[in-house]
Amino acid sequence: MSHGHEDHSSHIKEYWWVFAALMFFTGLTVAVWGWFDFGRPGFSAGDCVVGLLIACVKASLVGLIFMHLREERGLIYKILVFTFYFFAALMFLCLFALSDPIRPVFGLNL
Amino acid sequence: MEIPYEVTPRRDTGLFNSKIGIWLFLASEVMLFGGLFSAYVFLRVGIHEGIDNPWPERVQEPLLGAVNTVVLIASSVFVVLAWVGLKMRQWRTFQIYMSLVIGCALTFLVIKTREYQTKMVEHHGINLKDGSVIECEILSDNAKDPIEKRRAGWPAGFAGLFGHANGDSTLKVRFLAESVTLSLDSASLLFMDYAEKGELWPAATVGDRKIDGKSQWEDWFFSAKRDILAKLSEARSLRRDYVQREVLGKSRKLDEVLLDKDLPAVNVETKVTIKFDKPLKFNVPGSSRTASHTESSLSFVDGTQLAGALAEGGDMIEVLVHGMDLQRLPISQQMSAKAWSLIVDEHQREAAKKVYKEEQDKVVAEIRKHYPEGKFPSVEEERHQLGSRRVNVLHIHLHDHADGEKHGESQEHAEPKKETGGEEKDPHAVSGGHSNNEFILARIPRSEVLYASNHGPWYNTYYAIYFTMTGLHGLHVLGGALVLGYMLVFGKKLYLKNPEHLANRVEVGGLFWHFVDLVWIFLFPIMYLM
Repeated sequence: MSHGHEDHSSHIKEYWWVFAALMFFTGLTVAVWGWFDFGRPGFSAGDCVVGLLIACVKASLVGLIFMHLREERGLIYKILVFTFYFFAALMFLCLFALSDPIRPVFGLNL
Repeated sequence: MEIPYEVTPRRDTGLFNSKIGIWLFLASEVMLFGGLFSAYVFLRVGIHEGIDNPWPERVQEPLLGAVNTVVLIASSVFVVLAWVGLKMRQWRTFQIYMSLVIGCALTFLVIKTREYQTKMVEHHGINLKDGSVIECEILSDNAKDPIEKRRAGWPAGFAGLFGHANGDSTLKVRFLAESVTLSLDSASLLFMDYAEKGELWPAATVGDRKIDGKSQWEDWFFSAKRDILAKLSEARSLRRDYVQREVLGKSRKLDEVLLDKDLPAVNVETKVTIKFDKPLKFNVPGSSRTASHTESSLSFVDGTQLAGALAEGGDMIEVLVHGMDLQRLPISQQMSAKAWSLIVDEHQREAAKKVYKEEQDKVVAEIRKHYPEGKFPSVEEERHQLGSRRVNVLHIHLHDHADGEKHGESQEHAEPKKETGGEEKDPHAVSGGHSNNEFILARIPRSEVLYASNHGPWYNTYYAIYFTMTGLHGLHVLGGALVLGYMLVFGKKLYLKNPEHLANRVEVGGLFWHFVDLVWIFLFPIMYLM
């Protein structure tokens, strides 16, 4: 990535817009917690999905704009694709474990 | 030696070396935090009935988490603007924004520390045997009224991190000892560590000897111990000599020799009793690992035994109630939970129950909406189908203030209303005739307690994973702040020599900083809001 001085100064406004967007989404996350209540009382799957979706949008903004991923070289993407696969595998690990739980043994409440 | 491609990109990759390096490092960091996020999901989805079920939800103060989110996001913008400043060859701009980054990092860490301190020192959960939990702050024993007691616990501060806060906490058994009996061949004077501060090594009588002060105690103890050990040694050697003479000299069997009437016995009285001139107060952790107690004795694990009596209320844990957590009980049994009966003042108890009942009714009405036929689930169905969903709504805070914040998280609103007039108050006065917004005092007999602890990582699985993840993240914030701070303080020389090189370093440091921000973006909702 190489920019001239003018390029950089033109990016400054963009960075502040992204900051504003991140603030907005942070507020939205708290609002989901405080005002909306998807599903049954208290925490529910709906809250979880909405909360994590907003977090993903915020993470994308930070990654694409602040970390310059939208204009990055191919090699970085290759590294990240590898990372993504391993990360997904890590997440599946707990699903595998949960699909084969240790059953309570008689007399021993596991 | 000059390292290639520090400033100019390699032709094949189009990247300078440290940038590939940081991305590979960040990939490994994703795996590190990924493992912990995976563990979190596993722990939460796989909660075991009766142990961690229901999972504690929304127990954090979201305001502090939200403020920290804002602080980290702001620091992310500042770090990228600092980098832009370098790219535009504006040293001053870089300095300003990088200073703001460091300021944000420090702010984040201060807020985090305060959160940790609150959980360790000011928040306790007392789990009663009937399944109810009193969320509270355990009081100290040495002040005149509960509000002073509360303050008396604070100087312990971070000692709480290591489990030693409130040296005179009412969580400890308070015992007035009149005498101590110890076995000189095996015991030590370690029991004195548990005596009330300021009363160590008191005047006492042992046999016909008077001892007073540490040096006299130690002189007596070590000389008596020497005498006893010498007598023991002498008696044992007489016995050994006899056995050797009989077995080796007369070729008798050992079993036979040991039954001999003439075999010298080792009859040395090792136990000695010391009488305190006036009763000495001891504060001992109420766990069997240190000592066990009855109404009239306190026995340490090394055999040292104190005789006397429990101090007044010495077996009672005295607390300021923050809230009632009755989620483990079926709704129908919640209003008759043991926890209610432990609130000292009757008016406060009734007022608190009223508040709780109102909240409970709201939840019941809400739950009914989800059963269209109007059928309310049975206790078994309720447990099975509602699972942990009713947790936090019933986990109400009796101690809510006008500002709407939760209990204890912020010191200012937790500060009690000061009584005017400056008169000394009766220790129980706080419980009499005050409104529901005043502190609620409860006295809990130790025999009713299943376990009691501060909200440290040992309290339950939720706090274990919370401290692990936020602690690791906090260390990343600290590490990142140190690296970026180094560039701010010592970067000028490199800037004058090769500004592009410094810009690349800041970009790499900034990438790490953005990653730290990214992790927090996910930590905030899952730890504070869900």
